[in-house]
Formats: sequence, structure tokens, C-alpha cells
Amino acid sequence: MKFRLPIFAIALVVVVNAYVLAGAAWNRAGEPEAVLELTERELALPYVRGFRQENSGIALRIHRPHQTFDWLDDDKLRMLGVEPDELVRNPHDPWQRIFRKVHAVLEFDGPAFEALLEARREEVESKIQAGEGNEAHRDRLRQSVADMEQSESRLVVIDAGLDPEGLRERYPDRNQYAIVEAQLSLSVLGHDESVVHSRIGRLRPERVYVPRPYHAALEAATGFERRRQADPPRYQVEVRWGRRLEPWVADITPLADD
Amino acid sequence: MSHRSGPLKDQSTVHRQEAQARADRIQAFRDELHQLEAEGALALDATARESIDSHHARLLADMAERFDIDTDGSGRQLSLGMRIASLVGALALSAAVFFFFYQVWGFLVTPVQVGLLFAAPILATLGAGWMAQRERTRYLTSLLALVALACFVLNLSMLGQIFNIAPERTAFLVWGVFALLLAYAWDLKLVLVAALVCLAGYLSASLGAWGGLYWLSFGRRPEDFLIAGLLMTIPGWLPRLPRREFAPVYRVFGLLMAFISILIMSYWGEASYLPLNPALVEGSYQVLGFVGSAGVIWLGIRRADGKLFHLGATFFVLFLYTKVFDWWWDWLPKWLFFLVVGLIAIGVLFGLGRLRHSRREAST
Repeated sequence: MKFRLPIFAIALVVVVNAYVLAGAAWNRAGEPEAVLELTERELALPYVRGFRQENSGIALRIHRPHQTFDWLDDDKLRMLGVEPDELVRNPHDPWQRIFRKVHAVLEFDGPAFEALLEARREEVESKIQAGEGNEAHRDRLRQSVADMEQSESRLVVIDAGLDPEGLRERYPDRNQYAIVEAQLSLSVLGHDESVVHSRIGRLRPERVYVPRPYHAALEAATGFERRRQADPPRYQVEVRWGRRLEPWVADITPLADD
Repeated sequence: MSHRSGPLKDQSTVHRQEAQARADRIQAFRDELHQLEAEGALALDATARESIDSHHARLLADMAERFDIDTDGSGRQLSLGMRIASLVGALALSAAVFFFFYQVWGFLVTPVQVGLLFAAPILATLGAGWMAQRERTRYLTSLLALVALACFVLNLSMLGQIFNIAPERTAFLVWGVFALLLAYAWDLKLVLVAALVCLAGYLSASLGAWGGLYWLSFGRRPEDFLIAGLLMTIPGWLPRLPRREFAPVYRVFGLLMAFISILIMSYWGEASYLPLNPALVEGSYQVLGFVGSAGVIWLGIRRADGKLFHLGATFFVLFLYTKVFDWWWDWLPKWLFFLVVGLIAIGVLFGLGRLRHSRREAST
């Protein structure tokens, strides 16, 4: 018995590694589930500080613009297996935040981002027309629209569901829509009249690892220095999502300066 | 001749702990004999004395040779130091492995990364096995087994990062089973504790997920840990556990986790699954804390289990003092508050003293 148990432990390591690697291979086999040509706007270099200074690996963080989630209404929440009335009825529920696993649809550079941009334009225009602040402040407001146009992430969450295949049927363009695992974040706000505030929180995973062969291209484009806010993107990344909706970097190309 | 008192050479399967217990009894016997002789209550003749001494010397030498036990008090102190050193060493070496990999992995292509991550836990396990054959005290074996577990944790978490895999709670189960196998293979209590930590994480995350939460949110429901802790104690009460010496680890670890959960719940009723008013939930858990810790004290006395007794007594006092603080810190002048705390401590001393006295009377 004493002799066999360590053998079982080693066998466990072998089996689990085989399972993980087979899963990764299965994910990447065949036609990708989605292919998006993202840029530094959507995939940013990580902050290098503290412990990260000793981390030689690079993973690009998926960025999303600030957005509203009006479409996450009560009917949609029920579709996602959440009963909003029950959350509100439960007087001491919580700890303010509940997380559920869902699948989210990411739209890249499509009508949703255009709508966000338009909303920002209108907001700035109304503020300027109302004479908000001094001229310098109004210049900054105008600049914020220009910054959004050229440097803000264009990945917008436009839908969510529990069935990724059903979502794919509704969003068939694999070069514009990626379906990813995400956290549905629910908060019960207010005391007398509680309301459920819902949003799509973290994506899973929220970083995409950059394999060694692409480091040279990334370094050529950035010198591994983080981009300053509002600067234009310096590289393009082809990201593919596989059968298990796990992403991977398929190519990195430096972008020419305009 | 009984299993405990019989000649050691006849006990081929006797355990190291039993050998240590026998050595401790011999030491106690020698001390008491010396005291009795000094008080003039007993005078063994030279032949009997020499026979006992040579028998004990033979036994101790045999046990020291076979099990590397401590045959005197200073040896036990050194053993404690070695246990602490092996824990610190395991933590430091695990951190070294972790940081070394983080320092170099960016310079390696994926197949080399995967190869290293795969080989590390296997090599560390083989190293622990090699050491177990050469060492009877198991300090270095324990250290290497913990490093093997750390390598396996690194293995799966880094594969997750390399292949962008969303984290799964099953990883905790796999790590827990791996650590259990190593703990049972070489009789390593420290590794068993590590296994229980992993399994507790898995159980709590699973309970949270079955309750509809995203599994990574499991820390938000302390009741998950309460249930997991109670489940963990179960093997500790089973009479036919493969390694009897592990039973106290299951009992103490499980109850420790359960008591910590109760303590948190007694001040955070809003996090409860129970559809009750938070104040009522907190009050119920406060009562449960007092009753539960008193029950564990009683159980510890009944089973003559010092570890259970100390655990129960510690939490009883903790529940008492947190409640006292809750009630009177703002209300009483500070001198009076501390006077009340001091009087309660004296009351606890009297209570435990009476309990001790009644136990002694019952045993005589």
C-alpha cells in the first residue's frame, strides 16, 4: 500500500495534465469559434509593478469601454436563471453582490460601440451648449470624444445567455462577435425600494497569454512600455476563440505610425 | 502479553507514535522510580533494578534504531524544532519554485514550459519517496511532499494561464486528492492538513456553486465553510480509519473551520442562507457557538482528548469575550470593562477547576 500510493499520486499528475492538454488541443482544433483582429485598444499590456516585475510572462488584458447594461432587464435576468423579485424580496440579501456564470457576446467595432460614441458626442455637445466650465474645460470635453474615437476599446458586451450555441445562432458573424464566459454581477440597491442592479462583470479569462514567439513583435511595437492614455494603438492582435470558448493569440503585428 | 507492553521485537507493525509513547512511559517510570527511591518509599534490589534498566535500555536502543524516536526531553525539544524547520523550509522552497518559474517562464516556448510544469511535481514526489526510504523521522519527506504539492498547484494554475483556461473548482479537489495520497503514503500530518485545506476549498466552492453562486465567490457565504468543516471531521470519528493517528487532525481541523465560520456568522447574519432576520441569524449562531464549544469541551474531557478540549475552551472564551466586548465596550467605563473581563477569567478558572476536580473524583 505504501509503495502504491505515490504511484497513484504520480498517475494523478499524468492523467490531469493529459486531460488539460487534451482539452487545450480540442479547443484549438478545427475551425475557430471566433476570430477578432483586435488592437492595443482592446488588449493592453499589463502594469509592471511589485511582484509583476519578476514575472517574465506577458498576458494582455482584455479592455472594455464603460457601457450601460439596459438590455439586462428583468426578462433577460429570468432567462439567465435569476429571479429579480426574489432577490429584492430577500431583505438581508447581501453582501450586495452576487455573481453568476453566464456567456456573454462581445461585439467588436460594431453598432454598439457607435452608439456609445454617439451618446458621448451628444453628452459633450449638450454640456458645451449649456456653457459648462471654461474654454479649457470645453476643449477637454471635445478632446475626450476624439480620444474615444481613436483609443478607446471597441469591445462591447451586447447580450448574454446560458447557451453559447443559441447565442452563436443569433450572432453568426464570427469576425465581429465572440462568445465568452463571463460573470453576471448582481447588486441589490436601496432599502425601502430595493432594485436589482445588474451588469456583466469580469470575463473569464480576462487576460490572454502571449506565447514566446510573439514577444519580438510586441517588443518591436512597444518596447514593453504601456501606452499612455489617448495614444493610438501600436499593435494588432489576431485572437481566436476555440470550441471551449478559450482564446489564444494567433498573431501580433506592429501597426505603422500614421 | 498485550500489544503495548510486549517486547518490541515481536511487534513488527508497531507504529512510530506507539514507540514514542512507550519511550515516554519508560522515561516517566524512571523519573518516578528515582523519586520513590529518594523518598524511601521503595528500594528495588540490585538484580531487579539491573534487569529493568537493561531491558529498558535494550528497548530504547531498539526503538531509537528502528523508529528514530526521542528517548529524552531534549530530544523532543529538538524534534519540535525540526518540525518547525521542515514547515518553514517547505514554505520557503515552494515560494522559491514559484518565483523561479515566474522569473523564467516568459523566456521559454510553450512545450518547454509544459514539460517543466509536468515534470516538477513528479520529480518532487519521487524525491519525497527516495527520502522516505532513507529517513525515519519524515521531516525531509514532509518538506519534499509539500514542495511536490506546491509544484502541482503551480503546474495546473500555470497551464490555466498558458492556455487561457477559465479557473475551475475541480483543481482544488485534484490537489486535495494528490496531497491525501502523499500524506497516507508516508504518514505526513502536515501534508494531510494541506490536503484538508484544498478539500475544504473545493467543498465550500461546490456548496456555493450548488446554491447558484459563481464558484469563485465562495468566501461570501461562511456557512459553506461550516458545512465543509463538519464534513471534514467525519473521518476523525470513524473507528476503522486506515491511519488512526490522523483522526485528531480531521477532528481538530474540521471543528476549527466550523467554529471560525460560526464566529463570523455570529456577527454577519446578512451572509446567511437562512431566510431569517439577520439579527435572529446572528443570535442563533452566538448560541450555537457557546453550545458547540461547550459540547466540544465536554467531548474532549469524556474522550480524554486534550486537543479537542483546548479547541473547545479556546472558542468558548473567544465567543464569550467577543460577546462581552459587543455588549459592554461602549457602555461601561474602561476600568469597569476590564474588571468584568478579569472576573470572567477568574470565573472560567473556577469552572474549569471544578470540572477537573469532579473528573478526578470520578476517576478515583
